[in-house]
Amino acid sequence: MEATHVHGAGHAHGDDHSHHPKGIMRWITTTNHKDIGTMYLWFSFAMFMVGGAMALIIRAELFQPGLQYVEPEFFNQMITLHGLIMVFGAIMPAFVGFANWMIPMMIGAPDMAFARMNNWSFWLLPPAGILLTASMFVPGGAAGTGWTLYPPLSIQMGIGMDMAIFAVHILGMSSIMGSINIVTTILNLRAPGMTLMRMPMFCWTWLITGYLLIAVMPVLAGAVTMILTDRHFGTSFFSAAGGGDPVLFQHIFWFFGHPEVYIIALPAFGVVSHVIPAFARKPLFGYTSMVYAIASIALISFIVWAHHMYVVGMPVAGQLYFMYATILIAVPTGVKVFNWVATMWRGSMTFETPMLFALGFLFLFTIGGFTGLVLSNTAVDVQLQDTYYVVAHFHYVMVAGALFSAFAAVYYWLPKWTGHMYDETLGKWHFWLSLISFNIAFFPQHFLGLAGMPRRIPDYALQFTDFNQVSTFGAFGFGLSQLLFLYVVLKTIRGGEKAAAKPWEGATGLEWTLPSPAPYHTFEEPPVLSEAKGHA
Amino acid sequence: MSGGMTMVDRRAGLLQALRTVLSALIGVRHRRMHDEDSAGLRPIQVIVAGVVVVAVFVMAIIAFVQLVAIK
Ligand code: HEM
Ligand SMILES: [Cu+2]
Repeated sequence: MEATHVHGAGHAHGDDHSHHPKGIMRWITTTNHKDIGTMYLWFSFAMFMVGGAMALIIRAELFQPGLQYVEPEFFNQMITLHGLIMVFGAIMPAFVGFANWMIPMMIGAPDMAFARMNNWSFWLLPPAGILLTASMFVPGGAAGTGWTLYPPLSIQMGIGMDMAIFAVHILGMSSIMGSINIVTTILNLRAPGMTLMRMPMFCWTWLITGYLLIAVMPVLAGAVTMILTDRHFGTSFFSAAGGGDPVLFQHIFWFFGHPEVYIIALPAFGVVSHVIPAFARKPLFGYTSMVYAIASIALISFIVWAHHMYVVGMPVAGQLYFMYATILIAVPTGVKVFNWVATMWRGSMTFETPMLFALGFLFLFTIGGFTGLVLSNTAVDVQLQDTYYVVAHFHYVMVAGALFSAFAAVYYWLPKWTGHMYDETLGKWHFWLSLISFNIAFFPQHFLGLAGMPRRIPDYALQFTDFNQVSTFGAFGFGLSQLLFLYVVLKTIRGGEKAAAKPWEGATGLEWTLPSPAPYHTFEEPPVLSEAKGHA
Repeated sequence: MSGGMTMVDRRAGLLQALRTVLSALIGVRHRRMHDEDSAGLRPIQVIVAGVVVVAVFVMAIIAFVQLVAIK
């Protein structure tokens, strides 16, 4: 298999293989989990910038009522591409990047189980990103349906829609291969003595997320393929004119879509479950019940999908079923918050940047969970569906939830990746600027939604002006704050205080037994686990 | 590991798997009770119990909806 295995333990650590390609070919041909993790993270950040620029176009247009900068058609394209790029191009690859970097080091494996497939999983992403961004420039422009791609609109649009469909196909393939790789790595490559129940929580959340991805990405692929055949091959799955049913698409999409939100949330839970114990200097409260609760959250995420469809015309019994189910499953999610709070209880806490982002996650994700509960009430949702309240809800769970957790992860592991400490002062600035501007951008959207402002519309009634201006102001602040993040990361890569093997006093786990920066090849010989080095 | 195949052992396994799954749905549990239950439980038992419990959960909600939605 890999040359690294042949060399054995006597081989000096470091990237000095004579047969190792240099320059760009190193990155194109690499099968090293650390290289691939790095590429995932940079790809994710690039997409974050592209999707962020689109968000700022949206917010600029919404600064005032009336149409100022863009045509309504283009506004819709921005809405669509922003959603697709952020979900599939920024957040998901970021956590796959963390998985690539950290899971082999956490479980004492030399690399991912399928190192070449890993390379392919990554290199599928740039073509998909290019398809999505290039679709803006084709005749008719990009898809303007929103990231949910609902028919009949998605059956009517131009070639930009086909490009979006192919991009989703490719991204789905990448996700499926990536998750097969992660699941296999976790199940087969753990160091002797690392039983499943001693495994770090981040690995557990990814194991479960991997299964979720394998279960639902094919469903999404099926849904968009049916749109494709409706568009070009004369089928009528979703076209009422041919005997099909547009609502069928919504059911299929959300059968993927609700588990998808947990695909995004669970690895974020995993990160926070490492950061909070490290900076509270206490083991994670209720490790085992956390594992079981995360598994059950994943399982029941399959039975609530139609809470996204309360107003499409369901029988009352259907509405009631999905309302009760949704409300009930919020219980295990809420208990996770309790677990993290209990971990901090009487801990000796310090507030370095990773901890700040983890706490930001904790507070704001909880707000997002609460507004989710509000929305899960059918009678309330009939009013709030497709308003800015929903936009506020999912930005609290996806940005202040998943993205803040990703920031926590970067600051927490950056010393291990680069061998340097990041600039703590600038990191804290990044946190506070992000936290404040995020809330300025998104909290007023609750009020806008409650007052009835619809989402995905470039113009609005005059009475919504003030809160929209506040929101736009915050959005630009948030966008600019992320340039500071880029600067901090680049600065850390280029130099800085030398990082110890374990820069965080309270951190536990095998990854911290390795030197910083982690050598190119690690754990070529499985480590010997002492009692203490089990899980984080 | 129990590994025994007597009736008593298997019934106990089922009960433990159910208790494990139900407490997972709530989300918190005493470590001692967890340790007692998980000794001798195989993952497949927990997974099967989980799927069964979710199926029962769905049917219970449907039954409750039938009850309250009767015209
Ligand atoms: C307590 C847990 C949660 C509950 C009860 C909940 C409930 C809901 C409900 C009822 C809606 C539909 C609102 C509507 O369209 O009228 C919704 C939308 C949404 N939720 Fe959640 N949610 C929860 C957690 C999450 C998490 C963890 C994420 C992602 C990380 C998430 C992401 C989204 C997204 C993206 C939408 C909007 C989809 C769209 O229409 O484009 N939610 N949520
Ligand atoms: Cu949902």
